[in-house]
Amino acid sequence: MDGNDGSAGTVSVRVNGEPVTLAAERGETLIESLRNAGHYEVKNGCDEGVCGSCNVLCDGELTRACLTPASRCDGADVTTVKGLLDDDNGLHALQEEFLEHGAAQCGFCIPGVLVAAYHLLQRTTDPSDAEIADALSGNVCRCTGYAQQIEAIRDAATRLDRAEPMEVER
Amino acid sequence: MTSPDNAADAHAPVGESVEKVDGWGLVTGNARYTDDVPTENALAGHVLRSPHAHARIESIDTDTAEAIPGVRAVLTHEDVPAGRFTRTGFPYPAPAPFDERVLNETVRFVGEPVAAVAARTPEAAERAVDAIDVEYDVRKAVFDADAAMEPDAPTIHPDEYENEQDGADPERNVVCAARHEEGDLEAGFEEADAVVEREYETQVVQHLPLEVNTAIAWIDERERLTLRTTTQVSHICRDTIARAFDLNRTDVRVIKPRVGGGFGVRQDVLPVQFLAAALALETGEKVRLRNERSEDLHASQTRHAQDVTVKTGVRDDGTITAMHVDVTSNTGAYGCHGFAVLSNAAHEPMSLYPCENRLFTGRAVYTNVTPGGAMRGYGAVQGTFGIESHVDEVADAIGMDPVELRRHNLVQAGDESFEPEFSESKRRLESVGVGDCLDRVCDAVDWDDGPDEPDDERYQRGYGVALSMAKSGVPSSEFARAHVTLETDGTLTVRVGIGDTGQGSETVMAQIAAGVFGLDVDSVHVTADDTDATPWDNGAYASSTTYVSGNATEKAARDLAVQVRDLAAERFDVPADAIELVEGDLRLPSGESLSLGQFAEEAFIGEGGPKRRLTASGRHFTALSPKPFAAQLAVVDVDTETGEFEVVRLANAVDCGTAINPEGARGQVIGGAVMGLGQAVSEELSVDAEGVPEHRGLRDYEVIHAPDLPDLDVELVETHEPTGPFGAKSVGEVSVLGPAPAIANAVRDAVGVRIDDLPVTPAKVWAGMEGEP
Ligand code: FES
Ligand code: FES
Repeated sequence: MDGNDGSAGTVSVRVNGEPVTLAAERGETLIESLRNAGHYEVKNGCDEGVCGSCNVLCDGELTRACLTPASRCDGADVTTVKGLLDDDNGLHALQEEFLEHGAAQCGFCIPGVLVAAYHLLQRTTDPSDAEIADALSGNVCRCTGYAQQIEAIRDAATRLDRAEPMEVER
Repeated sequence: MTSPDNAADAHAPVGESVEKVDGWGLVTGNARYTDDVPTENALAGHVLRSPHAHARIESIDTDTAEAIPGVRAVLTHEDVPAGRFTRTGFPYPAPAPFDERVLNETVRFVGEPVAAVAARTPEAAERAVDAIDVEYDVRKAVFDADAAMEPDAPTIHPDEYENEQDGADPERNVVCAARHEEGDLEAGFEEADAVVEREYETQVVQHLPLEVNTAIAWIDERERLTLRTTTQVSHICRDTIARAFDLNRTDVRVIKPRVGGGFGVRQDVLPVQFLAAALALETGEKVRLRNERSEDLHASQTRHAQDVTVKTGVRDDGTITAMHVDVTSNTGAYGCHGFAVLSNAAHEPMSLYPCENRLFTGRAVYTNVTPGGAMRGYGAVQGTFGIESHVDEVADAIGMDPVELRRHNLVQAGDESFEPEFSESKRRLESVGVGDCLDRVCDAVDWDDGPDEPDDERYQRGYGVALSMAKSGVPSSEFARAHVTLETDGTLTVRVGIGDTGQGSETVMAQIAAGVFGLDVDSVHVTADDTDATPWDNGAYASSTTYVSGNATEKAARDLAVQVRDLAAERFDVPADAIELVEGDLRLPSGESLSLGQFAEEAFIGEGGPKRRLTASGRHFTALSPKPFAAQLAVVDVDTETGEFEVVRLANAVDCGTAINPEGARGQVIGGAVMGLGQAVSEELSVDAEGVPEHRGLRDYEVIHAPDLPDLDVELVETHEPTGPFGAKSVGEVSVLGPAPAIANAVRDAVGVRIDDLPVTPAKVWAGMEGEP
């Protein structure tokens, strides 16, 4: 998994809008590079691409950071769960509804679940429960049994839908 | 404990669905778990694991490994303390044999640690592990519990060990045997009109907390061993590590940051914790050791697989006259929780039907698979599957509705439970809402009038119920202490050694303390993350926290409130009991009020008397363990042409006493039910003929995902437990127990096929419909 970007083992990305240079000289995956740069909000739940806790958006695409070589992300716009906060560090409607619904127990899955939910709400403003469940099909949450997460996403979608115009993709 | 005269001060936020006190960090990504700190200067730990299910290590050559640049330590069984212990996470001496060392000379399951390496880089650590040369004398292995008791089976623990359990026969691999009889079983069977007997089997599953087991260990500036780690029992972890390495308790510190789930696997002191400690002690440096997911799945403790044989005598009117439950529990390579899980397997579910003549017999057996351990439900998942499946078979044998049969025999308040003598709850159950729970789930589908049967030839609908009972702590074992301080701004600091791994216990403690003072939760800070800062608490297991630690917290808060009232009474010359604590204020009988903050500050300044810092402590020990109950009902549609089935609905009614945080309690019920659903229909860890795990990692382990969910309804059927904090019992485990038998009963109702071994799969249903045994 050697980086093949030709640069001297670093990758330039923007993480939640901030320009960041990530180390990638040892063929790091994106999650390793992000965590080494202090982005501990990107969680590693399986190292094998099946739990979704490492979800980030790369140029708007839902991405498993544990499977993606950092070297492949040069120039990308990366969004982690912290990217959901507004400029004053205020909570996004999704985050507020997760708190309200008790949808975060241990919280370890939550960064990945919230990024998946955020990605869903970028594409549709009025998802059905089945669409929400589908959007979470790549996430494992061992604590909550998902039900309160689905309720929280539904209520966040309703709130955001009412509060048109919806905030646009950063 | 809430006594009648102060029960009146039970007020908000108790009973409110407040947000979790740690919630902001969880939803913003700011929460810090074990591995979420910079460790670039730490040594990387790596473990060599056994490829054999049973082998004696003849020799280990570590020279090449040690010569690799950057390698700082290579530890084998020759380098770790000779003493043996149990990882079982109970206070010393746990009810389990002392049958393991940090690294063992004989390895007893595939994946058992053989050596541990610490090196400057992960790459060097991996290379070193590859370079260790081990010569194994491979022994015959056995994986099935019954086979392990046969005379020709290999003896897995031939050497004598300490803390042998009752009924042990190590030669035959029997870790312990249990027998508990009440009444006269044979007479009970004589009285019966029908006697029904059947065996039920449960599979191995794993907790799979989403954060893998991890430890960072170092020697601090006071030369103390410090661990930052994924634990749910920080004080027991400290105690066990200190004993294993012969250190003073005060020379070990355990930090429990946010922890990503537990469900029992972190009730035990984990191999990563022992090994990280050993490597830190050896090198004097910081060591980071983190399992990969596949290591966690293969080598961390699991739920014990059990065979549960149930024999029941019943009269034609539905009265159960006798019940014998026999359990064989496969405890794997070490006797971790072997006795207590076995005992719980029968005692909890048998308590639901208090017949006069009952017998439990059982044994836990060593085999060469990954050790079993504590897992949410703790034996009762297995026993409840057997007994609650069997109750439907018994009903069928006498032509009675299975709900009717349950109602006829059901435990009531004031009845005795079926449990060992050391529990005072044995003699009297105070709050018992299981009958109401059953009514609620039945009403949800109109059971009594005959629930809906869609008119479909191909897809047959079935309904099944299951009842369950759990506990609120281990009676006569659990001990908790809490310290509460009134700060000079009127906020409270609570120090309590609980093990919140996500279930919300820090929030519940905050609500309890706040409830005593009429404060909001934001005015309470709970510190529970460090053995240096908290008094002893057994930690999070056996559904004990709300009941045991909650009682300690309530007592501390009430004691503090008494101090506040007494001091105010002196100062304002009014009777103490005429002073009210409401919304952060002290209200005097004159109608005047003063904020708690102002009061505390003046007390500390020393106005009108000596300087005082207002602080109190509470402790709770109990021989009681009040029981939460649940009724769960599954609705299943079976495709009669393929055996495929869908669980379309799972209704849950739970009696947890007072729900201190209803939304949190609901989350526990749903989370447990969905974990139980996985146990019922999809999860299974298996090994091949050599004992090698058959799954590569999480990708092969079928957990429930969001699109798999049935309709889930949850009703909290509140009762009042007089000995609980504000009337509360526990809620963490009870809902994991019922889904498997409820679903098996629903399949039986739909197509007449009894699946008696978990998981229930389409292939088994199909085979049953085809008449295969
Ligand atoms: S850590 Fe990337 S999917 Fe699990
Ligand atoms: S909240 Fe613990 S894994 Fe989802």
